Formats: sequence, C-alpha cells, structure tokens
Amino acid sequence: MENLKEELKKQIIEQLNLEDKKPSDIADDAPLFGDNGIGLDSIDALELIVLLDKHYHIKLSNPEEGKKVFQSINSMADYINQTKK
Amino acid sequence: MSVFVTGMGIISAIGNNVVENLSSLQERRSGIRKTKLTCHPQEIYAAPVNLSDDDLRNRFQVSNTPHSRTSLLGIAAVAEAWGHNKHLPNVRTAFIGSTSVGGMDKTEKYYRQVLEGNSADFSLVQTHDSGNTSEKIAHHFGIKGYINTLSTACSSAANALMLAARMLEHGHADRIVAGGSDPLTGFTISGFQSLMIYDEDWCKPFDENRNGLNLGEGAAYLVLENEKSISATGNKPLCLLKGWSNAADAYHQTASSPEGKGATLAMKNAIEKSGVALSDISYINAHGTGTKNNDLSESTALQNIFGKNIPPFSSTKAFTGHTLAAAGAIEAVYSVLSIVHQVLLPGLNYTNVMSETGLTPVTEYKPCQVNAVLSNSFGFGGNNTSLIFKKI
Amino acid sequence: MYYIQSSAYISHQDTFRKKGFSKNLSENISTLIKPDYKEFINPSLIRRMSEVLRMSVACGSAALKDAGVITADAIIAGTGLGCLMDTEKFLNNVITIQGGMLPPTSFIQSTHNTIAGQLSLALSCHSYNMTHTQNSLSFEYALSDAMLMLDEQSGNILAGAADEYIDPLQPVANHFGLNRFPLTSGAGFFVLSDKVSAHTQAVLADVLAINDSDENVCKDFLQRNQLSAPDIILTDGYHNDNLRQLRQNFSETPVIPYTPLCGTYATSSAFAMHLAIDILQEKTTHVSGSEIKQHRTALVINQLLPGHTGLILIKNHEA
Repeated sequence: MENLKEELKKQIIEQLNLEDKKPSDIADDAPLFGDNGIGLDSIDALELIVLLDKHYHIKLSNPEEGKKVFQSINSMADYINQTKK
Repeated sequence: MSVFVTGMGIISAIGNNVVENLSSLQERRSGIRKTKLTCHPQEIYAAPVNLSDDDLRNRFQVSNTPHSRTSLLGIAAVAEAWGHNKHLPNVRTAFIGSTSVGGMDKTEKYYRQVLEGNSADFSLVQTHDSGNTSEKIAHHFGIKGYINTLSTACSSAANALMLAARMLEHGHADRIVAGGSDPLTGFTISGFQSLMIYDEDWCKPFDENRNGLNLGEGAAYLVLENEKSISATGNKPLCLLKGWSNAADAYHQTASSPEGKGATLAMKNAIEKSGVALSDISYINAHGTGTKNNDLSESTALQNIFGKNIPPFSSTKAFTGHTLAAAGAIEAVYSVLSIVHQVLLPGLNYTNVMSETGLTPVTEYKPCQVNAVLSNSFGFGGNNTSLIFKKI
Repeated sequence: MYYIQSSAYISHQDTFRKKGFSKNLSENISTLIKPDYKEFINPSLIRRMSEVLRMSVACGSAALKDAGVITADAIIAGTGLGCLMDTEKFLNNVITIQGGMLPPTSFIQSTHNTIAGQLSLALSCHSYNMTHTQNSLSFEYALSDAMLMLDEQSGNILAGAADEYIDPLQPVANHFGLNRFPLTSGAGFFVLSDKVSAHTQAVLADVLAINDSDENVCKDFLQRNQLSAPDIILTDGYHNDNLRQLRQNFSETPVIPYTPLCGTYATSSAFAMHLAIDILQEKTTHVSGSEIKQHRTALVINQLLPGHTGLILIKNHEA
C-alpha cells in the first residue's frame, strides 16, 4: 500500500507537471482539490482519470465519480486497490 | 453609421446554401448522424458537410493549388454571400475570416506521415496557418487589401462580424465580407472527447439529461455594408447588425463561470449598444452546445438579463452540430433568416426541462413577429460574444 | 493620439525590462533570454504553460505594472502560428495513443486564443479579449484593433504578440526556403492609451497591415503622415531585394534589418517596435553598423512574407 501511495505521488507530479513538488510534499491525507489542499482543479481531475487508465488500466467514465475518488492520495489508493480485486 | 447585412452564404450539414438550411430547419431535419469519419477511429455522432474536397473544388472552380477543407468550405459560403457583388473603385472592401484550427484537416495528415517516418508531403502543411485560410478565400473573390483572421475558439465568427461592424462604423471600410469556417478533424474530435464533453449520443441542448456536444463542420459569411456602399452597389439590405459586445469570463480555462459572468456582460453590453429594448428582442439563438456547463451558465446569464421575461430561445446545434469557429456566423445567418421570414427556429431533441432553471426552449418552427434577434457565441477560454440583429 | 505607456518583450536579445538594450545588441541569437517567470505568474498556472504562454503572461503583467495600470480595458493579441508546442503535443497523442484516454491539457492550451485568455485569467480582466492570426501581419492587425478600441472609448489597452519555435518547424522551413536566419521565439505586450502620462514612452502614430507589396504602399503611408522619410527604418531584412530597394528609396535614412537580431518568427515586427521605442527614448546612435543621427520618428517595415506589408510608425513623444 505504501509503495502504491509513493508511486501515485510520483505519477501525479509527472502527469500534472507539478514542477516544484516532491512526493514528500504531498501528505497522504491532504485534500488534492480546492484552495486548502494541493490546489488541483477540474482539468487536473480529467488528467487524473487519464492517469488511472494509463497506469492502472481503470476507466472512470463519469467525471462526477472522480470527486470522491480523488479526494486524497489515501482515497485514490483505496479505490485502486478495491477496483483491482 | 448603420451596419447593413446585404448578403449571406452558408454551408453546413443541413444544407449547402441558405435555402437548403432554411428548409431543413423548417422540416426539423438534423444533419447529425452516427458516422465513421476517415479522420477519427471510432463511430461518433457528428455533422459533416455532404460534399468532399474534390466536390467543393469542382463546384466552385477552385485553382489547383493546395487548399485546406477549411478554405474550400469558406469559398462555398462566400460564393453565395458575395453572389453578384462587383469590385468598385469607390467601395473599399475588406475580408475578415475566422477559424479555430486553420488547415488542421491537412496538417494532421502531414504530421502522421512525419511520425510514421515516411517522406512527408509538404503541400499538406502549406495551408496550416489560419491567415492562409482567409487569404485563399478572399483571393478567390478578388478581395485584396485588408484581409484578417480572428481565432477565439467558438466565438470566432461572431467576433469577425463584430470587428467588421466596428470598422464600418468608424469608416475604415465600406463593405466587409465577414464570417468563419472550420472542418471536422481528428484533432478536435479527440480534443472534446478528452474533455469528456463529447456526447456519445445525439446532443440535447438545454435538456436536463444533456451530456455534451456533437461536432459539426461548415462555414458561413455575411456581407456587411454602410450606406455609401449600398448606394454604389445597389444591394438590398436584409436587416441591420445593431449591437455587439465581447467579454471575458476570466473564470477558468475551459469552464464558463456558473453565474455566467462573461455571458451576462456580453449580452448586456450588446443590447445596450443596439439601443433595442429588452421587450423588442423577439428571439434568442443561443450558443447551447449541449454541455452541462455551457447550457447552465448560459441559462443563468439569460435569467440575469431578462429576469422572468426571457424571450423565446433555442439552440440550433442539434441540427448542425457545434461548428466551432463557424458557429457564430452560421447562427448569424439563422438569426437573419428569423427576421427575414418572421419565424422562431426550433431546438431539437429537447424533452426534459433543466431542473436548475425551469427554462423551456422553442421546439417548433413557428411564425412570429420578429423585431430583433440576439445571437450568442460563447467560447473556450471564456470568450463570450453577443450580436443583435434588427429588422429595418 | 495613441500613447505607448510601456513595452515588455522577451526575445533572443536581452530585451526584458532592459532600458537601453538597443545599445547592447548581440550577434549571438542562439538562446531565448527569459526572466524568472515565477515573479510574474502564479506557480499553479505556470505548470501548465508552454513557453509562448509563459512569455506572454510575464510580458503582459510586466507591461501593466510598468505603465502604472492595474487592469486593462482590452487585451488584444496577435499570433501567427499560435500555441505550437501544445498543438504538437496533443496531435502526437492523438496519433500515437491508440485506444487509451488522451490527456486533455495540451488540447485546452492549444487554441490560438489561449494567449489572450490566460492573460485575462491572470489579470482577472473581463473586458474585450481578441486574438488576431494573420501570419506575418498578426501584430499589426492587433495594433489596429487596439487603436480602433481607443477611438471608441478612453482607456488602457494591452496589445501584443507571441510566437514560439518547435523542432517540427525546421524541416518545413527548410523545404519552403525560410531558413535563412535561425527560427526563434518571441513575445511582448505594450500598454496603449489615448492619454499621455508620466510613463509615456512614445507615440504610436499610425499602423497599416495590407495584403499587398506595392512600393507605393509605403510612400502613401508616409504621405498621409506628412513625412517624406522617417529618421530610422527597421525592416525585417529577410529578402535582399526588399532591403536593397528600401536603401535605394531612403538613401538618407539608416535602414536596419531586425531579423538578424531576433530571428525568424511570424510576429517579429513586435520585437522591432520594442527596439524602435528604446532607440528613440535612449537616443541610441549606432545599431547593427548603421549610424542614427535623429530620433524623432521610426518606421517598422515588415515584409517578412511576400505580398504582405506591415507598417508601424512610432514617434518620440518628446519631439
């Protein structure tokens, strides 16, 4: 699980071009969206959907579903683990 | 100085000229169908024009030099708009075109050759730039001098018409051919799919269950003249272009602000510019792409301006698809038709009212006294333009 | 009257906020000389921006600051080829990613109006926002639009142009014989106003963009501005015939080619305007081996593309 979260952070930094961030800057439970968190927006949400497809072969067809899934690294990791079962 | 509309031409999925388009609108015949286009791997709902590049070349006797489909569609539309107009020494004529992807229909073929490592056909990339698109069209009709192109995504052609009006008002030209053109391309189809706003079914503008847009292609151009030009050309005015405005949402790159700020500003200022009373606006040709975001934002903006007295409105995009840059001009033609024929134009594929707004669009083609028409074109990147056409 | 209140430009010369740069022009134009973008652009926006967008937003923000103006009454940009990096990136994905989902960011950033659009976002500006794209005349048409806007209403207009280089341009340039000078990038914005202020740098006297290359175009333009010859001519200098003709027609005027200074891109006449302003303000006496004796008027003659002529007349506002 920890590996997955670390991998996720690296992939997110790459996919979203978060140039000045390192994985250690992203806390597992930090809100990814909104002003209080990492500050991602709706374009990033679409990019995260692509990330799930590219790296985990999971197709999230409804962007609305994404809101729950992409809340934090924790929620993303949980979702990936659940879906792959 | 008044701005008169004296000519118009159009080519879209619902007709190769004005009469065919009008007849399709009257008979509720959409040009959107599930189709496999050569530029895209999947079957999608789209609205192609029913003439190939070669058909267009032959029909309009286009010279045998490289032309993008964008230019060919533009030539078809201008041929109709320009009609029997002549070049006169005391009539300063200008051309303002618009496109969102220029010659991308050919460029994407060139680039594929480059990636595949084959020797690339450079004539395919020769027509890429947007300016070249307009030059090819203008030159076909012998228009020289001021030839310009605007590119603001979905509001492009409306902006071309607005710039033309402003130039005529300030005496920088006497007669201007203005409009826009865009082809269907793999680039744009994939683009809107990547944004998850391309409906897998036939689009439903202003419907509660709408799920995105369908793309179309086409071109439309209007001939705008001032009084001096009309006395020289003898052209008969169809209506006036009375008001215009452009405003930026400055909210987000792809989403329109939920309160419809940019749209509200554009409509408000266009109406003010026109001097037309709110109650004299008989019909609104909405942008209405069918995306969740646009239709809500636009509806909110309509409520901001008109309160509870929103005039009859509809989107014609369930007929033509979203023709990107050309949309503003295609819909300007429809707005002029509404005035000339004194009719309201129907929106298709509407069943369920939007729960947030309770607004119902016009769904029948019906005779009506039409004084003025508001036409909206709201683009990507929050570029919003509204035009007001008025009966003379 | 149209006043140029400020001018911010990024190029392959050290032009960004460098008063007097016209005295230190380099023959080496191998690198784009850029500022620290973080000073001008919110980091959360920078990450998505290609070079052309970074340059544009940095220059737009800087120009407004330097003009002492908080927001613009219109944002008008010219670009010949638009946001090429993102266009190529998305097109590449479309062709190479078979069956998988496509990342949307480069598509969103690829539209020509992203330049002006990003500026409106960065500056929270709801006013008129326009993008002109008429190849080598894009900047001149943007300026004309700005002047028309100032005729309609008083205010401060942010007008400029941007174009970027990407590798796939090279084989195209080679094929069409457009590789005489290095292909480069450049972007800049100017604040134009109908009122003079303490910040005023120069007067934008007149602009013409025309799909014509007749010699009389230039003569008529000067005549309507009551000038027989300007004090300085900055010209693209791309085609030897044009350069020779200009030197013949204006034998008393220093005729300075600007393409060797900034490289080749569609809207390089904006670089020339930025250079002209600095020469007039700083009374620079020598540029590219030409001696400049008077500093009242400068004319930019853009004939980069055959059959296209762009003319920009700048006057020293102190003259």
